[in-house]
Amino acid sequence: MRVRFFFFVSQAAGQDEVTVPAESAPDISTLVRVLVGRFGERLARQLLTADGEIRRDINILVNGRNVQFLSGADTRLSDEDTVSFLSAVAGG
Amino acid sequence: MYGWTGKILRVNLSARSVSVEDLCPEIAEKYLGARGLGTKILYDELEPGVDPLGPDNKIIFATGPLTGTAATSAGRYNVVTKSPLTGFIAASNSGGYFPAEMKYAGFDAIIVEGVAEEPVYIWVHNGKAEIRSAKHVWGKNTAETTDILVSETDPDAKVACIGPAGEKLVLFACVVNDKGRAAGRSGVGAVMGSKNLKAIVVRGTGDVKVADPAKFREAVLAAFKKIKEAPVTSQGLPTYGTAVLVNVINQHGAFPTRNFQTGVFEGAEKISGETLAATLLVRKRACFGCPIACGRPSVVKSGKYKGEGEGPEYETIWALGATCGVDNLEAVTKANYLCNELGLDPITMGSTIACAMELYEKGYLPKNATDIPLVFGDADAVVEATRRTGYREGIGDLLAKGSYRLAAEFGHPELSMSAKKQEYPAYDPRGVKGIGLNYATSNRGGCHVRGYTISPEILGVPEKIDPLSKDGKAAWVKAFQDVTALVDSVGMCLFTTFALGASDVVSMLEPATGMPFSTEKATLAGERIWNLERLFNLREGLTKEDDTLAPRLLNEPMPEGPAAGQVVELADMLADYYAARGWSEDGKPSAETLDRLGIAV
Repeated sequence: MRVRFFFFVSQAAGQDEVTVPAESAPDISTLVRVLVGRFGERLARQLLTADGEIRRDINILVNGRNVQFLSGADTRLSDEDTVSFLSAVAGG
Repeated sequence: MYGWTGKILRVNLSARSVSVEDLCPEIAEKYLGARGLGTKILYDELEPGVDPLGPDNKIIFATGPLTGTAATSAGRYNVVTKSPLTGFIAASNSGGYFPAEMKYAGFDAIIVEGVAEEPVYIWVHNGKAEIRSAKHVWGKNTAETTDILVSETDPDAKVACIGPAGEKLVLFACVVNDKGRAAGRSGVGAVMGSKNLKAIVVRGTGDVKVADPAKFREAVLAAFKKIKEAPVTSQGLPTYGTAVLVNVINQHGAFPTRNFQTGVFEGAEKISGETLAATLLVRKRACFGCPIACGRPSVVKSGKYKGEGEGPEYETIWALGATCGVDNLEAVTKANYLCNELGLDPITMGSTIACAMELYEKGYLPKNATDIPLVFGDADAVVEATRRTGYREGIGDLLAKGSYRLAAEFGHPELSMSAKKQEYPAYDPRGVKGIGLNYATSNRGGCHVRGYTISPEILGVPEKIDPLSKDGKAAWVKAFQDVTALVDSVGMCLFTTFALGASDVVSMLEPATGMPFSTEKATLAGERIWNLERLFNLREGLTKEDDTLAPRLLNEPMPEGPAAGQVVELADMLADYYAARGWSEDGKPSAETLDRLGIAV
């Protein structure tokens, strides 16, 4: 699957996107663990709370839909999906 | 009075007279200031049916009780008048340093009436005012005008002025203050132009007294702490500015492209906030008393789009970029500079060009009707069409009417992406349903900053709600509209609401003014202001049929992306909204609602 990073998540990962096989990350929860394992502490601070939960102010989209309106951290992933991680930002 | 100066300046340009009146404390308590005070004055003083560009219209510049104090981001004012674009109420909001200086010069509001025989500006200083000739700056752009008027008044003076677009009555001309901040929407600059009023220049050495300095300071420090702790206001906006939204909204498939024909722009990366930050931005700039500092001075160093100025902001990048199919960031930035210099609302400007492009490409706008080929994606055409509109040259004379009148003139008003004849901003409501209800019900026509439900629907602030659902949106829209009216009317910036709530506003408002406010009372004031705006519009002939959206958004499913297949189910949301507001089925506030709000008509 295509995984895209935006804003502070991108800064923490040091790149804008990576490809991750769905086989190694079949759901959002696993994908976050895989990414934190690959990119380390800086990315962990962007994505996780001190307790290791996914931060509520991070928006995670699968094909443009926020996972909150899919199945949250249990949302299933396939190789055709695009997953976007957006840090807390606003404008207007 | 505390918070307020307690004084209103009235200038009659026909009679060349200037007078000072007291602000009624009861009106201040009920309508606060800025947008609310301006609305109250306009409602009470304007005869229904006046020509917005005629001598009987009035234009009011109003600050809030917190403007110019140490309260968080409290450097705002509103320009309130009857809009020449919509025919309904206009209330355009701006920051910078002019609003605080207007308070220090001694006035909560400046009411301008009549028409001057020849170009003038109003010089306001330390409780006094005089009408001066502006013949020497008529025709100058906003930056030139500002520099000249500062040089002949006071080096610390602040200027709110119009450019050539306002002078030539472009229906979406804006008022530019401090060179780069604008009361942008609804054509308030054209009303100034119609009065031969080039500028208002203010300078004061007074201060704004607060009733309980110790309690006020405590509340301000608490609010600052929240601003500095919230990720959005402490990191997101200061780092990327508003343009950060290009990628966010495009990712959601709600980034209106080629006149709302789709919601996914293939060139978004090239005009994104990240690209802007990496290429053209030079530094951050804050308005008065603002720790967020979202302003973004920029420079295009060389080439045919060479220039320097403020922005572009998210809305501008969209309007002069994506909705015209343009992915050239330097061209977008140049067109934005032109909007600032000529005094044009970039949202309506870009959306009107996009409408003209669709009319042109579909053959509805004949080739011999325009001196520029108007094709989606043509960056040079956008820059040149903007310039010509500012001077009403060639095709610019047609574009100067806005998209609705343009599209209607060529037989296809349905291709104007507008509500109440004012163009939508940069969110396709087929992908964000609540903002569609907000566009349809906004008292000043298509607008995002009357009730910014993008915050919960997309950004997750204060909580995430489903952007593709219509359920529950009426209550969210009403709540956001009322709180926004409160924030606008005390003189604070709407961006503070990404970190602060109504209770935080009240915690500063109460010790500043010495008047008893609760969160409920203050929010009720916001609701009162919203309803008075509605009453103004009803008096001007508004009906339920005006609370609608372009047929494209109601009937044409989004063709691709995350919102594919979606339309706006407006009728259901609108019925819920009227009920939530306590309005009749035809959209009129009930007697009980008016009684609850303390509005006598």
